[in-house]
Amino acid sequence: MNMLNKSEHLTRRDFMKGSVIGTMGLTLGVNGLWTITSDAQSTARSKVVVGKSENIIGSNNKVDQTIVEKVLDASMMKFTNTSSVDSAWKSLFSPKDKVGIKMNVMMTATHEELVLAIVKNLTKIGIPDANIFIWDRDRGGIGEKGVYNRNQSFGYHSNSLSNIIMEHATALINVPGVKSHWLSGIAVAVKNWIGAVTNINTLDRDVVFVIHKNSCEDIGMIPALPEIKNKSRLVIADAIRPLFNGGPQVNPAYLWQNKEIMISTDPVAIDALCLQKIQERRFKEKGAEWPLSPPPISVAAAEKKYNLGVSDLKRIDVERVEV
Amino acid sequence: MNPQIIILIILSLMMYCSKSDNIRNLLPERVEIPGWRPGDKFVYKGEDSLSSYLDGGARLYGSYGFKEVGILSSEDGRNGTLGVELYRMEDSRGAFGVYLFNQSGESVEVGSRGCYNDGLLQFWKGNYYGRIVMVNGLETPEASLISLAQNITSKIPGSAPIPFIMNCLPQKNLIAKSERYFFHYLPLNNFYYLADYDILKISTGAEGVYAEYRQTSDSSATKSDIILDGQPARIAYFIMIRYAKPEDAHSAGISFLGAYLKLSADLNSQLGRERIIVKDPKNNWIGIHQKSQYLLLILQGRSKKYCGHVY
Repeated sequence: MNMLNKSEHLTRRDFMKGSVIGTMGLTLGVNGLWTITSDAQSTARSKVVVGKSENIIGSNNKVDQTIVEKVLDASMMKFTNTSSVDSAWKSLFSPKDKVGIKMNVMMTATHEELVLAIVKNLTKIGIPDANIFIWDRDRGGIGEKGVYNRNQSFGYHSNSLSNIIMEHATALINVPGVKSHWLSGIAVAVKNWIGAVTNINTLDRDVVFVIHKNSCEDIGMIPALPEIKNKSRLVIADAIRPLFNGGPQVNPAYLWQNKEIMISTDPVAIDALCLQKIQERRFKEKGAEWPLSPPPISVAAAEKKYNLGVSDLKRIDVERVEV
Repeated sequence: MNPQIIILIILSLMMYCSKSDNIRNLLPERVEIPGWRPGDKFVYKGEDSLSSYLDGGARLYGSYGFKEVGILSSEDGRNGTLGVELYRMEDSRGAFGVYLFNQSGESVEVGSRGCYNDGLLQFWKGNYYGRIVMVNGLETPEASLISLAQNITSKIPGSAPIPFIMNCLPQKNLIAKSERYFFHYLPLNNFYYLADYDILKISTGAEGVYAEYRQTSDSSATKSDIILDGQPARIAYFIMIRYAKPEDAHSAGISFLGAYLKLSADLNSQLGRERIIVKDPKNNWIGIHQKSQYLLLILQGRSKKYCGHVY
């Protein structure tokens, strides 16, 4: 179901006038920044912890393993309000869990150093190495070795979802990269789940999941599937070196050293924060209005249509930790 | 089965295979940079296949008539990676369009057009668009990448002219490298989002060009406007579309007047006879003008007069 009637279409002018606030919650405001507008009826709040280190990127643009582990540890303790790293992870996962880590291998990929840091923490709390699955699309690996060697084919279930979700994992961690995107405006946590299903194509032709139309407004339908939503425990966004223009194909001129990771249980809150961050970077780069095109409709739609989390920045509590 | 049909099928298969082989053959066997290990070489054919490499980004290439891409990867074993991507499009205008879509940086002498910035070299020649990107590799990779690209373009026969409509762009105050070429609404929406559908009816077989202009007088520019050459400048956005027939241009203009500007149908009769200039919700001016088979739009003009005289 589309948010608009078939006869209605959105134009840039509608966004400028804010005349679509009620349905889309997205407005092209002053300075060309997309603003997700508040729905008076929504009171839910979400929390995001942003962890940062000036030293997270070492020489040759390689992520420093030791530093990324420290940033992750500090961020997890802050997010869970705990005083030790073990208790932070134990508050979300049990040693009996089988954990699927959905990383992103496309272009602005999740850094393997961050994934390794996550795996190390899971094993520290007693989850066997063999019960940790790292994957994107139908390829993955198992345990620490699987961080770097992901050539095993796990395939898809008859319902078009990854077999890792359907047959292996009891808990899921979403570990997206952060980028702008030609079709959807931005691609972060909500969009990362597209790599967990098959039966999609860019023309939305004869597919189970129709997700590409209208600036990918409906990508929220994938993480809203009960098989994913009910197992999702954590989102750890890799905002260490995001892309602020173009995408998924990378022009290195549009990557910047942001040096942050973001932690939440709410994928929409992560997307909303990343949207703000990318817009600010574009404004800084051009010195003027440079709205993301096409408009990132999917972020507001993920809340208003798919009930996946909070998209309004006014209802997101951001806590910061610096290492 | 009729023998002639069998021969036709065999010939088609041979042509198909020959094209596939071509793109592999156009890629170098190895990367001639000391210390770099030769990597995999692979080919994706068609938009659906490309999406396994480019995700949803394949739709953009599809809108420019994507046929296949040959890819060669390489690495130096020290976190440095190199990717060579050679895209074959349905025709040269598609290859030119996708090159302009992505162009950035300084011009370099590769193919019919080439540009380079930050480890990314891009080029256009004939039906091919190429991009070679080095990440975390050499300190100054430009010369190596140019040499690699020239090796490829030397094997691509002939060249193609740029689409005629590109020559129609006014040159005065044109911001360098802002011009883009398209024949589908999707790329246009990446330069300047107008609507979530083909509001300008480009899919009727039209082609268009988008460009940005420094407005002739910057006296009204403020610090919140774009900085060009160290000075604040106001930018106007220009879209020109050439349709197959004047009636198509008129129909697209009416679509824009009604659906985007929400103007009354009374104005439709003015289209084609005079410029229509109105304010947008942010108090900028929009000009629309249909001239024969062309439709011209000026967006975010600083004054009514500017929109009336820019073209």
